[in-house]
Amino acid sequence: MTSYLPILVFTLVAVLFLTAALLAARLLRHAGSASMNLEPYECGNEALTFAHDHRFSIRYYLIAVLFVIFDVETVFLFPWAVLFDQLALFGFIEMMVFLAILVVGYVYIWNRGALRWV
Amino acid sequence: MPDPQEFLLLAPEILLASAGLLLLLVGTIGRGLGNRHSAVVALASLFLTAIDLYAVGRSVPGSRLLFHGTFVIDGFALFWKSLILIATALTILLSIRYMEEAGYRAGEYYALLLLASSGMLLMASGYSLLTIWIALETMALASYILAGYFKRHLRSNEAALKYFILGALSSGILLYGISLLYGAAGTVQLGELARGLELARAQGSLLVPLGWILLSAGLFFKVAAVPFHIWTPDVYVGAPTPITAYLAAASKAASFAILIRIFYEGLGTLYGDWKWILAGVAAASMIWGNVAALIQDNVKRMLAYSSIAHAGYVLMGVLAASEIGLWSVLYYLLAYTFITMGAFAMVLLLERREYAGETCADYAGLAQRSPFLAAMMVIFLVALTGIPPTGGFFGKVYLFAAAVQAGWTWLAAVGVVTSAISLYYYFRIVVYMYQTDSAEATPVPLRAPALVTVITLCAVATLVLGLYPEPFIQIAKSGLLVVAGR
Repeated sequence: MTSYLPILVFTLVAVLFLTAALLAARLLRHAGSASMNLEPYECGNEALTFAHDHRFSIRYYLIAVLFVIFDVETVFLFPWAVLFDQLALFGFIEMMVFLAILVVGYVYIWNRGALRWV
Repeated sequence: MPDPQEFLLLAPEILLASAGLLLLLVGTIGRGLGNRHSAVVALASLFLTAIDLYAVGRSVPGSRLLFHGTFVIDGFALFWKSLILIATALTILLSIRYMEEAGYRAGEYYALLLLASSGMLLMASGYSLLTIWIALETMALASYILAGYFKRHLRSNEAALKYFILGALSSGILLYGISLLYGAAGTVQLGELARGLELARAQGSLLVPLGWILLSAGLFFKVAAVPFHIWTPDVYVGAPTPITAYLAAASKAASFAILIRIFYEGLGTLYGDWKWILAGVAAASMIWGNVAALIQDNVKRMLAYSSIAHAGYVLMGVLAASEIGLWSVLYYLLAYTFITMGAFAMVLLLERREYAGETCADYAGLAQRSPFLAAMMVIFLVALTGIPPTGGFFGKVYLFAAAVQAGWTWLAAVGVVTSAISLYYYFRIVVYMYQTDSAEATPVPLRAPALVTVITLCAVATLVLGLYPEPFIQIAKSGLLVVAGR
């Protein structure tokens, strides 16, 4: 259990630091006008419209999800490439099976049109 | 490199997963295979998997550990795998007409069913906590999508979202418990875990109780036991009805398979610790499931609470931790699979557009509109209550006997009393069917042959299990595990 002591200390320091920082900010900050602070961009420019007047394409989210899947693929590929010599033929076949399964998913999203932009 | 022969023993799972991927792929080319063809392909691959499973069972007489002890093939695993294959095949039969009328793409639907089932088969064979967890996630991820498959129906969306959020949370808790147990015992392999945990417990490690409590909370969620049952009614009612049946039969069976294996083989040495928690959960499930079912007007919701109650009965058998306890659990879930599939098939048959035909009142006068269907429904309801001559009766008798034999008389008493309570809500439907007049006098057309076949098959199985239980008890006995705790 003693090996976990640093983690406990770290947690305590984190909590203390946050509280201290927030308290200091509260004591020091200027109690000025609130209206300016509520604007989306505090850069002096007035906002022309509201954010939710505009629709974002749902594809952004779809692309993000697809990206994560293929990103994870690379995470697996990298250590395999480093240890390619030791994993030998068995490792190669395993990786090809893994890639084949992902390719099925790739072909699927392609055919269903998830990659079509317009 | 593992022995190539080990992959041969894993062939049923590989076959089923490949068939799922193939269906997924073919379903997107052009206009896809269509509903009926996809269903036929799925059924054919299930059949091939079953044959392969039989061959595997023949080649492994006792039990055998594979892949450095992360995977096991024994009678217990084979029993659950067969049960899961049967439940999946019945689900596909239930789905054909339903999917045709719903008008959603069918290819993915059957592909997901096959993928979920391959996850379940892996669950039944998992011998390392991590293998079991991965298999569980394979099943769960596919089930979340299936629950929300009717994406233009609000209730289906609600079901999927609730199932996903709560399911992900419970998987997280499960994994956290696994990591704590690994910290305590230094292994996730079930056989070594039992020894490691005993040692760690003797040293007074706090990780042990924390770990197994979190682990069991995750497992209780998966089998829908009180107090981790909250998702059940909403998901059951919102999911497409064949999927509800699938969750109630196959998913529950696979979850019980891992629950029993983990409690007996992994945590067997801690029996003295977990028995009280298990007893409490079993009693709470029986009481709350049956009481809450009393006030349900939607039949799917009522069956959801009834499935919670049945999880309680089964947990009682698990708790007995004896030979009779275990085989009565297996026998009970075998019978329950047919009973619950049949009951949901009835709901399906009466369902019309959207969600009409789900309330108890929709069963009014069914005896006049279709005497055959009414009689079938009576069989399922009688079996769910646990009255002879049905499989439900023997299942319950053996479970109660096992509990009494193991010294849990009060628990068995709770079971008997709550079963008596359940008589009320099951027979409410019988009263509606036979004593009330229907608003519409038109006979129910038996237009879906697959559906009627499933209903008849399940009813016959329910009766046969009740009239000639002996061979089925032998089957259940082939799936015994060595109980480590006692």
